[in-house]
Amino acid sequence: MLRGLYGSAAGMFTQQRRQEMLTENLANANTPGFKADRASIRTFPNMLIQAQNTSNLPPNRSHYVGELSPGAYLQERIPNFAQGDLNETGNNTDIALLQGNIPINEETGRAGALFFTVEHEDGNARYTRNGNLAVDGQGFLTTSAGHYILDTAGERIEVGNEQFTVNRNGVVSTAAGAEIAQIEVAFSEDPALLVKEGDGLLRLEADELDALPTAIGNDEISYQLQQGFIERSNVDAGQTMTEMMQAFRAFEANQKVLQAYDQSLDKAVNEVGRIG
Amino acid sequence: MNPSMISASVTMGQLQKKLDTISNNMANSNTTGFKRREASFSDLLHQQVNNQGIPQHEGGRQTPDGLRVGAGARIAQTAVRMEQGSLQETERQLDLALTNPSHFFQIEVETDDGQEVRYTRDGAFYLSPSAGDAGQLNLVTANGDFVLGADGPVTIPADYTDIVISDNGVITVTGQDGADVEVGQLELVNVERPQLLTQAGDNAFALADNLEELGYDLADVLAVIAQADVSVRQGFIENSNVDLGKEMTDLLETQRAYQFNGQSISMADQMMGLVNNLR
Repeated sequence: MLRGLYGSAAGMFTQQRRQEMLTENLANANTPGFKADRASIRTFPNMLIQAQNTSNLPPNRSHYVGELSPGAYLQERIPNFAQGDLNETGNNTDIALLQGNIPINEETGRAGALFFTVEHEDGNARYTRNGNLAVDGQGFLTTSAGHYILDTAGERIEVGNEQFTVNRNGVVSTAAGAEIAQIEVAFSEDPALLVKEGDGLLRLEADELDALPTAIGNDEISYQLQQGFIERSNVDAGQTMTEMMQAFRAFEANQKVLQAYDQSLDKAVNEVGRIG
Repeated sequence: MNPSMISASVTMGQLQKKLDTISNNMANSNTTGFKRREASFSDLLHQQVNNQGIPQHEGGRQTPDGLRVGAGARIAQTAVRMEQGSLQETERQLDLALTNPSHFFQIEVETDDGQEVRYTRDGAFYLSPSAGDAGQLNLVTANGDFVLGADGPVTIPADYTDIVISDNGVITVTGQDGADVEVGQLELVNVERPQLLTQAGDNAFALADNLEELGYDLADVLAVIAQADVSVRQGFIENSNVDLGKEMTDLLETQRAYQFNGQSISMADQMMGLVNNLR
């Protein structure tokens, strides 16, 4: 079969995966703390093409024609951990994490990111930027899905009711002014290693680490917690829509190429093979 | 089916629920003592799709192997927001406003299962003839439900000439003879965990039916407040805490998000059309 047939089909798959990713970003354009994914598309490993029936040529080996790419695929969805903009809500249970100075990771050349630490049912920590929090029936500070927010000691934070205050360093106090705990802020040098899990949670999948180190007390990192604010999703709806149109047109172009190949095959079948 | 159609349509369904919440708030922007609700979103479950069996062929990856494919967004919570509504002066004797945002009046509501205590911030009260005693009037809500005082439903002598309700909720009535008589004391509750209340309609909040099942005591949710801490203002009512400007902005934003998701579906549909046109 003509090799390009599969190449253009692979192109269609890739653009469909990209469109799915962009849909996902748009769907979460209103999700607090959501980090938009970016697509990384890469070609399949190239093939080396040899000419057929040339083995009798001196010095007794076939001719190399050259390399051919069998198409492309969507290799990665890399979340963009840039800060989302803050929106004032005035709710005591909305806490935005505003990143200040974050060291650049020398290996990747990108900045790290800060997260709230969350207790998960499986015992391991999870990380989130969704600061739309709640107070559960027992008076603990939780995410909107009910996962406990952890303090610097790795304990749940019992605020009692919604009348608590959080200062810029994350120290939680009661309405009367008594300090309860300090909200843990975790630092990831390479946040691309965190895996999205749903409910705004991110999971650490790097083998060498079980938990992210704390950002508290690290002189190179500056941040603020803003009570009464929410960090919005960093999805740019206009840009996402434009990219989706691009993905659609690229899909269409690949479909046209596929049709062109089919027409070639049509000629091969119906004209080359015609007798008389 | 193209998975983006599923995630976009799921999200549209959830955005519709946010629109419902917003329109309910807007509809109640003039309801006395109404507390707005706010819907907020969270992303849905992500599943991992492995795209190649041989990881060493995947050079230059920044993320762990595979693709994490989400399924759209959902409403994570519709929290009731308890901030104080603005006070409006009415100079009416039986209009009472609460000035502490976590305080509630207790009212006795007739339900199918008998009497139930409910909680309200709507302090526009009325007087209604007492069924048992022709010489007495009951203090009731606009729906005729009894307002509860320290000793059960508050009653007032029918031949009163003036009613004064002190800031501490003490009700003093001036009789025909000009003498002041203290007839009762409003009993208020302080709601510690407002998210455990449900809106029961008719401007009242009720406790969740399955409170015990959930493992909560009544004491976890609310507590009767001491008379000294009661603060009511006679002659005022509390307006709803709905900010129409904010609701309108949320409405526009939600509607646009709905359109964006609709656009994604339409694009996925056209892509499927292209596939169908291959032959």
